[in-house]
Amino acid sequence: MSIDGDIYEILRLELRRGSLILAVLGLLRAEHYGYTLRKALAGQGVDIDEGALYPMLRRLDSQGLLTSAWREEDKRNKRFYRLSPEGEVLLGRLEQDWRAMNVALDKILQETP
Amino acid sequence: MQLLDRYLAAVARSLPKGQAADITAELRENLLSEIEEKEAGLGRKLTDKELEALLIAFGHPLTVAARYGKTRYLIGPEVYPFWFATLRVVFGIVAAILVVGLVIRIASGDASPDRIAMGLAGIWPSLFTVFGIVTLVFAAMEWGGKGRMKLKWSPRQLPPPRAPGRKPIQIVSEMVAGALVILWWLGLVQFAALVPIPPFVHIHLAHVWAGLFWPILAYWSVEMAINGLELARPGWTRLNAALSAAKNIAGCAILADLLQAGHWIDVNATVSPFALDQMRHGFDRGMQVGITITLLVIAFKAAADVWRLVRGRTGAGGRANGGLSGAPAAG
Repeated sequence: MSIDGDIYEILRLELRRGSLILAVLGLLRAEHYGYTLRKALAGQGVDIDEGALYPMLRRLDSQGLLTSAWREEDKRNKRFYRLSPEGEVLLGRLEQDWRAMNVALDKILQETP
Repeated sequence: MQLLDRYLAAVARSLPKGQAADITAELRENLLSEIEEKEAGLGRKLTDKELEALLIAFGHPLTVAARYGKTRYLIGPEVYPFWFATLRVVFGIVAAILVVGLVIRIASGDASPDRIAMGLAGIWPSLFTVFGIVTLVFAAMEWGGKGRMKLKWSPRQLPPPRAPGRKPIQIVSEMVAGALVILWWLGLVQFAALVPIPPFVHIHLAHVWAGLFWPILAYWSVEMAINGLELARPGWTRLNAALSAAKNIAGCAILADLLQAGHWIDVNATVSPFALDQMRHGFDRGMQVGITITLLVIAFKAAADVWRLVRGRTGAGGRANGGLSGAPAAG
């Protein structure tokens, strides 16, 4: 395993794993279906594998954090997702944690030894 | 879109029946959106090869379907270390039993090279069977939800930072040897094939040994129990030292009693009376030296055990009181 390659990739994935859910919940304040959500995430600089995103949407939906509905758009039925009221509350709490963690990490990383 | 249909049908086959239609319908829409966008960018329809590449990039049907299910594993990360530790212990026990059986067979002269080879080959099926049973038990614990149970434990049960000198393999080896001695002492196995004595010479233990039958059996049984305790509870060093000291002191008493007999082996042989007398003297002389050396060794061990106990009581040495005395001194 090289530090530049494999190890970096593993650590980067670990670093991203938790924050991806935050990004997904944040973007689902507006309604999206799977593909447009992925495009929106990529547009914000958050690339996510579709194989991970689509099952994640189902899981968040089954946990009650999202609401979903099939609706016709461009003559095709699509499943649209949106943050549920419970999801909004949870997102607010996670956002606070995230900001606190960011402040702490910034402080740690900026400190000169 | 024949490829897409085939792909989604393959995904559906590995999804839970109640959700398969819904999930594949959603996947179809997402994939069609992606395909349409690519086609819009190219200004033409995707070729079959391009569609194939897109589906391959999306993932193998089994992988895609698996992501919609619960995490599936036989033994999860919480149960795994206990499964592995149990497997090591059980493998050790099974291997020891098989080795004892093999040694008995060889020692009793009841083993041709072919039978030994068959015995050795039989170890693998036994180990695989044990592996299967242990894995099934732990898989049942995992699936039954016991894997998430909080195990009750205390730091007091853990072995001291400086582990006792003997490794598990040494202890198991001693237990195997002890088991063989006990079986021989009880007359359940014979080691005639291992003693290099001409066929016209017959040797037997003298009468003095019969008088010490129970003390000697008790000594070896306690030896086995102490080894078993050290294997199961390596942290119980004080109890182990106390039992070991008691056993070794008792061993010294048995040997001292034995040493006073002056005659330990009965010898009969179809030789001249002079040669027979020489032979008897030789056997007894050998036994006298052997018993004396053993007595000295066991006395030394008993002293070492008592020292371990005293050192533990005063807290010296760091091991008995759990201190991290192995840390380098500052400065």
